Amino acid sequence: MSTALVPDKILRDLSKMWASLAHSEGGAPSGGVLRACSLTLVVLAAPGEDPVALSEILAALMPMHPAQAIVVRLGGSDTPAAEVTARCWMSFGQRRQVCSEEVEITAPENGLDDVVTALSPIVAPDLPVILWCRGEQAMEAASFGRLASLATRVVVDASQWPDAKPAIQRVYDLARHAHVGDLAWTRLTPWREMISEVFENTNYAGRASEIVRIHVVCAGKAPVEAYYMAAWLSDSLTQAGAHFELQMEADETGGMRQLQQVELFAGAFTVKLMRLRDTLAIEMDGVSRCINLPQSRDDLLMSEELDILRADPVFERTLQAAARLRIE
Amino acid sequence: MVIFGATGDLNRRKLMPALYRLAYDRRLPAGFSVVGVSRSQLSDDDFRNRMCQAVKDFSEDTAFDADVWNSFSRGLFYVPGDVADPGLYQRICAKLGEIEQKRQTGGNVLFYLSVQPSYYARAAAGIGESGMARGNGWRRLVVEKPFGHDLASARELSAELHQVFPENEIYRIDHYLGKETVQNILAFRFGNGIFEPVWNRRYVNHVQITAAESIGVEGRGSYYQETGALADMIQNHLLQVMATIAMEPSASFQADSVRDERSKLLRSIRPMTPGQVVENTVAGQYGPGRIGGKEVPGFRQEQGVDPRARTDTFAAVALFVDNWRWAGVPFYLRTGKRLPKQVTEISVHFHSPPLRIFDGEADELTPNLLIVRIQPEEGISLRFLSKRPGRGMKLRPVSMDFNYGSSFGERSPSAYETLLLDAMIGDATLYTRQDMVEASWQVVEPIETVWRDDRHEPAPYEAGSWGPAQADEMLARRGHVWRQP
Repeated sequence: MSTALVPDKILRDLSKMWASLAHSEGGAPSGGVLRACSLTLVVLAAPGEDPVALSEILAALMPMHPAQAIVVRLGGSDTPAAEVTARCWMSFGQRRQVCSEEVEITAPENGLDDVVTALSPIVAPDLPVILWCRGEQAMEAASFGRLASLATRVVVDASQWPDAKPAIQRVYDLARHAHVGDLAWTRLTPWREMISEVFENTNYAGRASEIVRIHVVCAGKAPVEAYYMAAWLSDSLTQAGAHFELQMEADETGGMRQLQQVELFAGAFTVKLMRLRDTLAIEMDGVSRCINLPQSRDDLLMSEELDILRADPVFERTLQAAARLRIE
Repeated sequence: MVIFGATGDLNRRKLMPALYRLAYDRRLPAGFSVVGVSRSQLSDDDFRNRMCQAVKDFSEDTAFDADVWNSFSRGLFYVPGDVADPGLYQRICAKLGEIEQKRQTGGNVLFYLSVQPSYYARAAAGIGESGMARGNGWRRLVVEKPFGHDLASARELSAELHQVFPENEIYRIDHYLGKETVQNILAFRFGNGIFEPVWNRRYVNHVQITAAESIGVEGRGSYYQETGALADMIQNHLLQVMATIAMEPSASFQADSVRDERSKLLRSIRPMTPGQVVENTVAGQYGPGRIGGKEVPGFRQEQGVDPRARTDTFAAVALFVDNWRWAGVPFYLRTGKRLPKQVTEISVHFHSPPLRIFDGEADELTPNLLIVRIQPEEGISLRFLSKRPGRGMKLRPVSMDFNYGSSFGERSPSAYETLLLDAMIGDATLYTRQDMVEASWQVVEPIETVWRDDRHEPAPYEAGSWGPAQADEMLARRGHVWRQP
């Protein structure tokens, strides 16, 4: 059911929708659905983004993080409008459907201000509000700051933006006003876990301070991930008392733009991580090990980000370090 | 039932749809009749046609059934006339006699004053002088708010009504008390054993009651600028809700027993000194803004409003109850027009645990909260912290919800259905008594006195916002924040 962008109307439609879901055709309670909501997820769709693809992402995400989803599409209509639906799924081994509510708001390209005014009354009270910005265009709107201030946390994907350094600067600027997450950072989780495991090993515990050189290699123009990796290693190793040289090598002829390899050189040992197609291999002291890299799907990345509802101190420290990073 | 002001908005929007629904549910006796009284020159059939349209337009969740309507509308009659004209009452009296003969009503009459408050006393006197206040059956008088515009006028009005009807036959209607959830507060508090032990200052940190309207004055500008949010909402609706939340358990569920406790609570609210008014109240007035993609005017730009009007379209107050149960617990009440959404809620904020043993940011480890939603989505929620699945002891707030709309397979009656039926069967539990009205004015009048002072100016707020910043500051002084409903 489509309605004007008037909060009271949207709330009434939602209320009617839940009442109708709760009752069978005959009007008696069916006990059919369980209403689930652990947060509000406001998704600011990228311009021209395929609605079906985005819907599939949300469908995969909701069972992991049941949320009131509010999808905002700018440029989708001449006048602001909203439509409410329920997204339902059946938990494994259960008989009852679990449902979460979804509001899709369409507005003219310059209509973000009206959308922000309407959002504040409809977000679920007392629960975190996560804003997921899937394009950078809307971030340039004057009212984006108002939108971000509604959110407990703002999640972006800086790897989608053309140049890494300005992208990091933009995320850094945003982080001065809100708690921020970045899917470019989330993609590094398997890399960071593998490196951390090295120094959790009893043979190498406490030896991070011996690192004298960090070498980060990427295919294509250096992506945001490479800067985050360099910044995270720099920050962590500095804290561990290491004095090192940082090198970043970008093979601009080398295919898809991504982090390719990380090497840590110490006098007595070397740690080398490298991407081999869909796997991540680590070599150390002549021993190598390999893990499958998880698929870089937005629903999986976002699910990981939604485990952190407010500040992510490690990322915020890394972001600061990345903004300061000077690499030739 | 005799309705004075029968062509007015209240009758068309609320009373007639409620009566029709009662007929639809077969809750009205067979001979039930309505005599509409108003100045417009209408025939019975004109009146029936108008009411038929009103029922079609304003019955939100009731299908129009032509058979039910035909049967119900046979009991609708109309008497034109001016409330100030003594001849009108003779004509009503004659009509009632006629109806009693024809429809076997048994002589019971409910008079409903849905006219301007300045006509209440005149209408009551007319009823008395024509002898209609006494008859074969019972005679009752229903009066809509406002019950006076200050303590003295409330007393004066009561004295005038009492010359015709004794107090137990006067039903002062406050439609908030007829709402299912407000009634459910009593069931929740006194029908369950687990809440009452924690319903006191030892466990409750503070209570917030919010009644927000998203609309502006909608053509009622000239009336509203004389009243304001404090008198229009807090003096009656919100104080009654507060009394229901905070009253002591009554010995029984008899009308006077429950009303005695409500009254006692209202009398326990500490009246403010002028200095306390400045500290504990905020008056606001909406300016222009943009809502739903449209520009909306500020209050002073509304039709019929004086461009220099100092009327409060927003009011926030911090009240304290001087009794053992609530000593030191602030009750924050706020209401306003042109706020972000239409919502009425009570939130009971409990104390934090005495010792914080879990890590987490302060705003994550929020204290328990009980929310009673009165409108639009009636229900109750309890918020508490729970461990997040997975490694480590990370806590997250979760909510346990009860929703009227989806939990029961039947619709909730509207407040007016409940209250009209109660008045017919003589149950005054949900009606306001004179001592309650006076106690409410004793709370509100000192605030109004300060706010009416020429030096007092309401704080401006943007239409579509949650009111002026001063309202936030008022709570911040005690370390509290308004909950966003």
